[in-house]
Amino acid sequence: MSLRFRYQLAPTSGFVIPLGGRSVRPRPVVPVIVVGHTGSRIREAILDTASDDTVFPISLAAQIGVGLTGAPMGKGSGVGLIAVPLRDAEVTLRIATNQEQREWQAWVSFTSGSLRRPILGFGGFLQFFTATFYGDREEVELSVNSLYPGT
Amino acid sequence: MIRRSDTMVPADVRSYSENRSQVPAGDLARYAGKYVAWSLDGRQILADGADPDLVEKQLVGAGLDPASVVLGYVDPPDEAFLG
Repeated sequence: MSLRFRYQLAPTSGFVIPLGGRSVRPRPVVPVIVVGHTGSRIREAILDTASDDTVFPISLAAQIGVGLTGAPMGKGSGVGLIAVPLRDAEVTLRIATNQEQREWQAWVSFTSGSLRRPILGFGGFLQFFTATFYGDREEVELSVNSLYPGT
Repeated sequence: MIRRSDTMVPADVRSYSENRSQVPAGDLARYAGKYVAWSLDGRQILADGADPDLVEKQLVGAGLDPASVVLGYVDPPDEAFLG
């Protein structure tokens, strides 16, 4: 069993030369349910094998009742190399398709830095799955691995 | 450790991705640079705004539960995402 998600197609204003002149960009975006102490929210998040951590905007922590006072702190950076603060906390994550659903406890990071959509990186997410990215079908397949801690 | 209570059952998104992927990309162009709240079945946009808080306020104002939508972002059409 596995979870398959179609890439989401983002419109572009012109032709994308590296994609043969297409006018969309396919992206591996999946809906993830984030559960805290007092609530939950669902966010489209992007699978990013280059990200060390799974990162959500800090505003989400307050919305779902995750306290960050005294939470472990760190820093992160991406393209542009601008460091942003990170605070780590444990949440419940859930993903689902018509074929399968998975739910597990995960340590994730919250950041006050600019973040257009959450990032599903190695820590807390990809560490628990075998991820196959089908460039031709524009799909990603996630299968739980031996480290998967959930149900 | 956070455990989900019986009274806080997360919404069902099992059909979201399949339906969401069927929405023509051109239909999203007018939302470029905005956050959007999708229905759980991925078929329609229920609210949009410049930031997530604004979208959440719109939802609450319309009597909708912010926990029962999928919040996404529509990238500006002239920007590549570099991770």
